[in-house]
Order: sequence, then C-alpha cells, then structure tokens
Amino acid sequence: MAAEVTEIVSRMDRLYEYDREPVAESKLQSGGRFAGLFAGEHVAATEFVIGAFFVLHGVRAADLFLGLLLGNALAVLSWTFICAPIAVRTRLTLYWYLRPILGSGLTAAYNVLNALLFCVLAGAMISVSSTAVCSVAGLATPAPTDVWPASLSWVLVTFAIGVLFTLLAILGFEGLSRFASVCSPWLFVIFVAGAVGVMPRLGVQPDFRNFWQVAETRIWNGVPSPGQEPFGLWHIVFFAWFANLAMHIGLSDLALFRYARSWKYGLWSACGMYPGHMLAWICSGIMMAAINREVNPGLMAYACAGLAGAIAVMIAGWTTANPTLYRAGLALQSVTHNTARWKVTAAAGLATAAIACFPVVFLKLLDYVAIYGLTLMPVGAIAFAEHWILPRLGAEPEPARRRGWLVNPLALAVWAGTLLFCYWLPLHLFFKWLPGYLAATVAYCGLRLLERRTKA
Amino acid sequence: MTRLLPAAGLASLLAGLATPFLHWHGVLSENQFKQALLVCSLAWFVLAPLWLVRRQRQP
Repeated sequence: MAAEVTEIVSRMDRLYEYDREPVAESKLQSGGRFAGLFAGEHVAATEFVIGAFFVLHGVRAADLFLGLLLGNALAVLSWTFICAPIAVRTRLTLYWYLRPILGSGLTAAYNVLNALLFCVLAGAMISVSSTAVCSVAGLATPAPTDVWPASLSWVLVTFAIGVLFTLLAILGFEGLSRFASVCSPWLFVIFVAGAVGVMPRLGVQPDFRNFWQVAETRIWNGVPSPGQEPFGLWHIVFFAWFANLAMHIGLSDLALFRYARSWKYGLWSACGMYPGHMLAWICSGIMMAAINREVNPGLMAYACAGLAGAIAVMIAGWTTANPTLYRAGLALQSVTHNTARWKVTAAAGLATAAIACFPVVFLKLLDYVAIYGLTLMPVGAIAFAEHWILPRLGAEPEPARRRGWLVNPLALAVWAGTLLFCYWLPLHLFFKWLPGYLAATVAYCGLRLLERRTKA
Repeated sequence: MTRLLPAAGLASLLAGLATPFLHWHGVLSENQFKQALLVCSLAWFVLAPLWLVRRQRQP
C-alpha cells in the first residue's frame, strides 16, 4: 500500500514538476494583469444561476445590495490578507506548499478530492448549458424541485453537450483557453444587455427614477418562491464571501498570487468580484424576475437577450467546464497506472456528463458551492496556522518532511474532525465554515504543540 | 490593421451594450434589440480572435 501511494505521489510530482521552484523575480506580473485575470474568471455560467436563485429565495432588495457589497469586500480582504501574503512570501503553488506540511500522501489525496469536487461543478455547468439548448429547441427542462432526470430529451441533450465539452477539453485545451479569454468581456455585455433589455417589461422608467420601487416590489420583494427557504442579509453576505472559499481562505490561489509583486495585489480581486459577483448576479436576478421566476437559465437568457443570450449560456458553461475537466484529468491521471491523459480526461468527462443529467446539481448549486468550500477549508486553516501562528509559538516548520510522514496524522485528524464538527453545528450551511475555520486553526495548533510537548 | 482590429472589436462590444438602452428608450423594438445584439456578438467573435492571432504573431 505504502509503495503504491509513493508511486502515485511520484507521478503527481512529475505532473507538477514545472512549478516546483519558487517564481523568479523576473517572472512577476503587473497589477493590471491580475485585474484582467480576475475580471475574466468571475463572469461565468454560475452567475446565471446564483443571482436568479437569490430572487427565488425571496431576498429583499436592500439586503441584496448591502449583502453583496459587504460579502464581496470580505472576499477581497480574504485574498489580500490571507492568500496573497503567503503566496508572496513562499512563491509556491498550494500543492508544493502543502507537501512538507501534510505529507505527500495527504497532499495527493487533497488534489484528487479537489478534482472530483471540480467534476461535479463542471457537471452543473453542462446542465446550465443544456437548459439553453432545450429552451431554443422547445424541449422540456427540469422543474425546480427535480432531483432525477425528468425526460429522455433532457438526458440526451445534456449527455451530448457533456461529450462535446469533454472532446474539446481533450483536443485543444490551450488554444481553446485562449479563445475563451475573448468570451469574458462579451459575457459581461450579455448580462448587462439582458437585464437592461427587460427594464421596460418590468415597468422601469428610462430615467431610472422608479427602479428602486420596482426592485422592491417586483424583483427582490422578500417573498420566496414555493419550496425555497427565505434568505436574508447574512445569507447574502456569507454566500458572496465563501463563493470562492477554496481560492482565498483555502489558498488555491497561491498559484496565481505567487506571481504578484506585493501582497497588496490581492485588492485587484475586486475587479472580478464586483463586476462578476455583484453586477452579474444583480443582472441575472432582474432577468429572473422578468420571466416570472422560472428556474431555467437558458430560457431566462433567451427570453431576455434573444439568441445571443442562449449562446452566452452555452459558451459560459463551456468556458467554465473546459479548464475544470482539463484540471480534473490532470490530477486523476496521477492516480491511474500509466494511463494516457486523454483517456483519463475522457473518463472524467463522461462521468461528469452523466452527473450533469441529474438536475439537482444545478438546482442545488448554492448548497454545492457551500459544501465545496467547506470540504477544502480545513486545509487552508492548517496552512495558515503553519505559516503565521506555529512559528511564533516555537513549533518546527514542515512537520511531515521532518518526520518523513506520508500522511500528517494531526492534519488528517483536524481535517476530518472539522468536517464532523461542521456537520453537527446547529447553523445554516452557509454559516458553518467560519466557526469551522476557527476551530480547525485552534485544534491544529493545539495538536501540534501537544505533540511537541509529548516528544520532548 | 493592428490598431483597427482592437478598435473595431471594442466598438462592436460597446454597440452591443448600447442596444438594450436604445430599446429601453423606445428607439428599437424588442426584436430589433435582440437581433442587433446578436449581430454585435457575431462581430465581436470574428474580430476578437483575429486580433488575438495577429497579436501572437507579432515578435
């Protein structure tokens, strides 16, 4: 078993060989480049669903605007004060930063778990794209409470789109990624155009003077749709904060910020948060209200922005799913024996396409985003404790490397214990991660100090 | 050409952004707005990749 894990780890190491060394000074990037990266990355297919769901959950207009302002500010501050400083000091990706802390075996497990969670997210994107095709073709789409596939046509269209996305991810990831970069500004235009285009339908005057009145009575009126739990200010604040939890608090974006000249570059994340996670969510909420709260992102965009809107949903789904499938294939390749990457990506893509046929993956997207961040958050807490707290308490750095651990048992215990603690915590799913993060940090520091005392 | 392509691409995006406002102010009907948005979108997808390819070819 240990030999097998060692073999898997060495294959994963070869895969990430190119970023083993800290980034050289000459490779550091300008702030403008970070602004562009964030702006491009955070206007995606998920935005068509998230903003629309806030309307279904009966958020009030004032709570939405204030919640998004505050929650996105907290996300920007998390990138600036938690992720970017560690990235700038270490200049390493999370994979290489975690290795001497978690041990190579646990780091590999983290990587594979991340890939699997990403596959489900890609599945949701395929479902969203499928709603666009079904809406244009006049085929049935799932109802808001559906868990299982409701019709054969839905399954056939969704699976075909999944196969198409998988083929594209296998055939030309890099070229297509370059093409995807031209989609972001256009997607943003479609969000704004769709929302502004339905203003006359909602009764908003061209001089904008009655917008707030319409917003409070017809869009975010505080009345949840049947079967949806009501959301308030703090649901919005926390959702906007943890929407990218794995990236900032979870430290995945070390990969990005290791190219930053200063930790202050974390502030550039605002260029992604406010257009993508505020304006685009508001726009999709407005579009949702204009189609009488029907849960169908494809129909919503088609009805509000015409064929360009339906194409936008399709392209947004693909641009989000494409790198996700590619990364999942890359991570899973290392745990398979000498299997070509295209075969692994194909297998991961087909499994993702099958997952996408279950409408629950996009109809419960808000909960899934919360679970995704929550699952990986304890590792971020461990890395934070190792970087900032334990050196000040006199603990030796890089415990797994020093002791030759394949799996750091303390980290594994804290990771599993935190997830159990969060599971039992009597709080709404959206609020569980913060006490969980604090508990993980304290528990890991405690265990490390206890272990040092026992050893002494 | 190297300056024309980005300028034309940007113009197509801005024109796309302008169409819903024209509809809101009653200048375009809903159908005209949607068609104009589609045309601007197609223009962007022709111009932007061309610009991208040319920029990559530059030394």
